[in-house]
Amino acid sequence: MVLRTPPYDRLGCDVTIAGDISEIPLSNGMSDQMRPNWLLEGSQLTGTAGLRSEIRQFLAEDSQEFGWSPRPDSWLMAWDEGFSKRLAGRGWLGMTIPIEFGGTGDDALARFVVTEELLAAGAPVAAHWIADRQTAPQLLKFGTDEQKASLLPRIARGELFTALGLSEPDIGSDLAAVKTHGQRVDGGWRIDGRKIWTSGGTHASLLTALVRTTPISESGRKQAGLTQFFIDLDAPGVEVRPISLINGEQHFAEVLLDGVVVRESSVLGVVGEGWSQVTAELAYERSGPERMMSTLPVLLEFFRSLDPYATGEVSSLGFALARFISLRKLSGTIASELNTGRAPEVPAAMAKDLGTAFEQEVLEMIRSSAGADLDDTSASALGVLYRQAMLQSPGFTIRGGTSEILRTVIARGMRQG
Amino acid sequence: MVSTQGIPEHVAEIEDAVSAMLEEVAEVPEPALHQRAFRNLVDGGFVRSPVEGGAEGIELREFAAVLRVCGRVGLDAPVLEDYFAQWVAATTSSLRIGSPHTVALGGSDGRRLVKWADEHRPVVVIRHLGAAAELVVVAAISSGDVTLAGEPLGCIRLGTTLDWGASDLTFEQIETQFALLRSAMIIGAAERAMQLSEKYSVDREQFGKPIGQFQAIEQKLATLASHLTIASVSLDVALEWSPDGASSAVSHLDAMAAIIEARVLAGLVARSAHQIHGALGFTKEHRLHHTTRRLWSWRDEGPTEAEWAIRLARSALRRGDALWETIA
Repeated sequence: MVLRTPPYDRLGCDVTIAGDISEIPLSNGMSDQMRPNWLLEGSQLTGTAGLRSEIRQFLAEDSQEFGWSPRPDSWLMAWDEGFSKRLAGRGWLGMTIPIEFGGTGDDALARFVVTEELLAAGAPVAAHWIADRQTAPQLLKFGTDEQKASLLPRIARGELFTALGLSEPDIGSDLAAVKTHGQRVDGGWRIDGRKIWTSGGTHASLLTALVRTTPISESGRKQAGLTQFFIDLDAPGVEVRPISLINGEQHFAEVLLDGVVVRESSVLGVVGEGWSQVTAELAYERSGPERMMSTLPVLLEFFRSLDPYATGEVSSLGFALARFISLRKLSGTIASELNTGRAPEVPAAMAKDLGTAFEQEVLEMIRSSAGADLDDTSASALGVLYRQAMLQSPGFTIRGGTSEILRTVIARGMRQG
Repeated sequence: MVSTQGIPEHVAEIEDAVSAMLEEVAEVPEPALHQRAFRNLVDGGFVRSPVEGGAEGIELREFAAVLRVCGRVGLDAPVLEDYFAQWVAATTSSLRIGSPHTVALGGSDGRRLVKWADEHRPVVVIRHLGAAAELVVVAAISSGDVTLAGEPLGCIRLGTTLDWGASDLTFEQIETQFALLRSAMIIGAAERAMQLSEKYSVDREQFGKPIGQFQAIEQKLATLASHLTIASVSLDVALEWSPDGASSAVSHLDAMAAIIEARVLAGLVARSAHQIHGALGFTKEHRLHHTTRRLWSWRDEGPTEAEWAIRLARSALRRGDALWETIA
């Protein structure tokens, strides 16, 4: 049945409707569900005031004494080994490492609060970031007793700085297709290949690399046959080449691996299980405060510059605040879920997608509001922070899973729901 | 000791129970069905606000769960208004509501059209009284007009003051509480529009496959789901807000943030749901408009999201220049 009677012919197209619209079936499955399973119930962290107060005092005193100031994207850009050691001295590094391995044995919620405070202050946390946030949890999950005993205490003291070897020049989003390969040799493995976008590669001493140890033709699928290795960045055959970003700074490196020989004890976890190990932490990596707070130092400085009683247009600031307040609720909710042993991967992808978009959008909001005060020659604190942030901004929605990939992850997760 | 405070379990149970009660109503345009469902809710005590010395009612937090379901199914009844009239009356020392009423917030002297008001349902008008709020109960007659969502509007009969009371709360507190509850209905409706869109994207095939398998549609649904999640999570937490500040973990800023997110979500979801549903979803016969017209209507109730955003910004600014300490 073709309907060409009004209003359909006014729609400007030939609308063909087969049969009666009301017959379009709607399955019973819909009404059975209360909320879709990817729709988290929001929760709130409580009892945080004392801890926040302590850290804020430390940060105020430390920045005064040691002369650092807030920096946007500090978890990537601000490398300060002295700060890392001082933070460790206060017990705020290695918080979820058990006491027996040199940590403070705190829970993830306390660590979440500390992370928020550090990022809000734009503190120089880049040196220990990967070690504390990625390597330590991986060691706890997959490491041997020897590896834990040897590496964790040094991480907790802010003495061991690590880097990740994941992406390659040809391999970004399609991470399972990495070509760096490892071959068994007498007493260990020989590794050949090339890693790129290794943050902190020029300063770190230990690399955790994802390496193919069984060819895809043998393993049958690309997610099988990958292995994680610890590689000493000073080892023979390792060459680290800094990469200059558009701001001229060198926070990333290429790491060339030419016949690097490592012992069997350098394997992290199980040979061939590298993919599941690397993806085990995705919900945690994608949902943290660093996925929404990278440009907060700019917003905080902007806020300080405002006259509270000015009659100018503030709705865009209000929208930004609403979004940030809500993002924190989402990040905190996911942290609580992770703390109970659940892995909310879809919400985590959502948090990163919206969070990193916010990191960029807030800069645009500030720019529109601050107007002439952000002239490109401005030497004001706001001008400096804004320009630092703008030069970093393209990376927010690319690193750790591009927004486009995240949306595919979300869509897939929803279909499985 | 840092810990977590989530949605109380009994609240989730109420949401379950009411979902079962209202399932059959979803988007069915039969007034009798909705009226019966509403009566069942009322008889079940789900629309009764607790009154000291009176019959047992349900608290605001639990009622918000009822509202979320009502928003989901598009229950054509004054659920929120009925409860809120009782609740706001109880914030005065003397005024009590014993029969069905509706509410009108602000209602400057010019505005006389009020949702659900008619000869049988008087209006509790809530007005500024200096910094505080006064309630004036007035009679009404039906007007024949309807809102964007098709909800009936009645006309206040000026000069028919039936009762009066001075609230313990400020107008702003009452307005925030009402907007939070309405936001629960918005989130419910948005969930439904999302659900319908997902279903449509699976069932509708073009070019040989379900349209949901095209990346453009897939990414649109993912974006919708993200926005629904953030607004929902924000509201779950914000619903712990109370005017007396009893929950110090949730501030008025949190409440305003959730109200804003719900209204922003409403527009996005309505637009995207229609886009995904194509021409069929744009017809009266299709069920989608029951949800989208409610989204459009409810987001326009009271101050817009832009007005709430201005309030949020100004409120934050007034607390001093240390924004982080204000929020965290």
